[in-house]
Amino acid sequence: MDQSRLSENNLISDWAPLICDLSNQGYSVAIGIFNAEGRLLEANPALCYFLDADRIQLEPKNFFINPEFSFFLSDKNEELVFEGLMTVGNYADVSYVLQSRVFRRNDRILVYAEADVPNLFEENKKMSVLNQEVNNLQRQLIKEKKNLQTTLAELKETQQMLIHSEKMNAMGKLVAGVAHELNNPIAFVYSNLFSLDKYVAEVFDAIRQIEHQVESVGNQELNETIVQLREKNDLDYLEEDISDMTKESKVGIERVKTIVEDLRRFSRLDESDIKQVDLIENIRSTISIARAEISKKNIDFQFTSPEGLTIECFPGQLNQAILNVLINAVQAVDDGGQVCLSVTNDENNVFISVKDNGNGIPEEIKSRIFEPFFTTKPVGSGTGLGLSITYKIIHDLHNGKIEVHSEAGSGTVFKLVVPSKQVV
Amino acid sequence: MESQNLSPVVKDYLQNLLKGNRSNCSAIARQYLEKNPSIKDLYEEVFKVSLYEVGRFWETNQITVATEHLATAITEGILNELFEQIISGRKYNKKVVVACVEGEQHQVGIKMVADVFEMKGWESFFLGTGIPTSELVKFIHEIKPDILAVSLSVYFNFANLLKMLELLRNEFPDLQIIVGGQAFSRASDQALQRLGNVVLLSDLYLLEKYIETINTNL
Repeated sequence: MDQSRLSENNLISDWAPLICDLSNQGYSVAIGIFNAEGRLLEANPALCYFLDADRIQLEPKNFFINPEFSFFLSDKNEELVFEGLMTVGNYADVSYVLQSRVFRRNDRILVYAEADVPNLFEENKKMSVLNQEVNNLQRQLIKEKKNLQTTLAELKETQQMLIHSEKMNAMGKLVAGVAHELNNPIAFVYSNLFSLDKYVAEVFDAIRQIEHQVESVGNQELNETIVQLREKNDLDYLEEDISDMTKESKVGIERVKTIVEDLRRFSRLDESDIKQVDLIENIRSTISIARAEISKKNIDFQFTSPEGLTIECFPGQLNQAILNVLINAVQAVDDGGQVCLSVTNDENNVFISVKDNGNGIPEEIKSRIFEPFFTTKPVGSGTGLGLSITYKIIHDLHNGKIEVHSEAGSGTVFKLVVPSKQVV
Repeated sequence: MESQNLSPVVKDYLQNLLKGNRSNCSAIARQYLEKNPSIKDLYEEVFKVSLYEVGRFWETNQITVATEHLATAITEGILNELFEQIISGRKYNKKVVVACVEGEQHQVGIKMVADVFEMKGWESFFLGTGIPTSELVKFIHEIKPDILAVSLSVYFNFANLLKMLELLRNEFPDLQIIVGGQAFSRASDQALQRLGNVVLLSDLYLLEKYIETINTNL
């Protein structure tokens, strides 16, 4: 670094011996005398430091990298044999660049070298500023990374929800389609069965009248033929059996009708908006969807509710929410366990409680049961979306809430609180 | 170098800071958090005390500026190590711009302030040091923060702070401004009165309470 010198009457030179002494002791100016063989005869601490002169395995002269020590022994007749930047070091981990001048008087060589201190300070300052910038950038990167992670998790959740809702939607369409297609044949089978019952009764009535007419004529031979015909064709048995068969068929077709009706009501594809519906009828349909699971485990299932409770809701969605909670309860109990679904209401809300006597929810996972993808079921048997979807349906869609009471060993109660009227 | 009344953990941290031993410093911070998981306590009781002590060593001519920078850089590095766990899961959709006074080179304090905001679910924005106030004004126009937090470490820059506040007040009359930093422990009441309509928060605990009050009203 070049800076103009302030000089007045050589004041500094008056202090020359002291300054020389101080420089000789300091670390910013390196001074040393070598002989022509390169042996260091005398050096101040700075030169010892730069040349690593305490190390014995390497001759100090070998620390001159550029120029090498031999350069100082050239045949030039001038006292100043070198001036400029000199690199010293051990070719490995130690390396310094010093502003140097080297003088030669006979076989004595004076090395005078200084570190560019102002430059070092400048560099240090720049490094500090750069370091701060690097630090700030690193911080921004961490933040961006975190933001990306959060976005990714949200996207994953949304994707799964979309897939699930798309599945439910497709299944709903399928169910509604099948139910609709079944409706017509069921209707004519149903009505034909009633006609058939009536016509069969009329046919047997006609046979009896014919027999009666023949009997009144008094022809013995004809009478016997008729009795034989009746016995041969088992008419008494046929009449009784046909009547039983139509009765059973009627019961059967009633059941098919109810199932189809339940499927249709449960899927409620046509009802994606808020509707005034009979909640109890809806819940009955939902129960019948879960009926197979309930029967399979031989569960003691009870359903209590007031009659004719109408509320405003998204019927298909609410059915889905109730089914999720109900299926969870069924899965939570052992074979022969108890599940109780009860509906109550007050002025503003309906309360749908599903109670089971299963093992309860362990304390450590209570706070996580509504998290998407959280499941305690084995891999592949649960998506971990059921309760989180239920939460969205009740909490977000219906402005309701879900209360959970669970004690380890004594079962769980899920209480869905749904406002009877929806504020749009 | 003599330090009195320092806790063992601070002594340990300080010693390693001055030696430039970053990995040891990082380990000390992590060990501290294992015993006491409060990052605010780590900042207040270890980092702040140690760095104030580093500042005192420089003032009393015992260490070079380079060593002071190294100590700060190491601590900032550890702040970054912890930053990921600091960013709060709950977001309040609130923004704070944190800044140093023009001429102020010390940014570690304001970063701790930014961290407390992040812990409380705020989004923090920082331009860096050596930024002229005019740049800060542009930045505030761009970010539109709810709060501006200004740090002053060296009392020498107090006049700059007053100038900066005046400029910001003219530009953003409704912007809530909070100030803090080591310099304020040396400011006289008379000097503090000249700050005008700003909130002075002397430590991270008060800052946390201040943010919580805002958050609960959201």
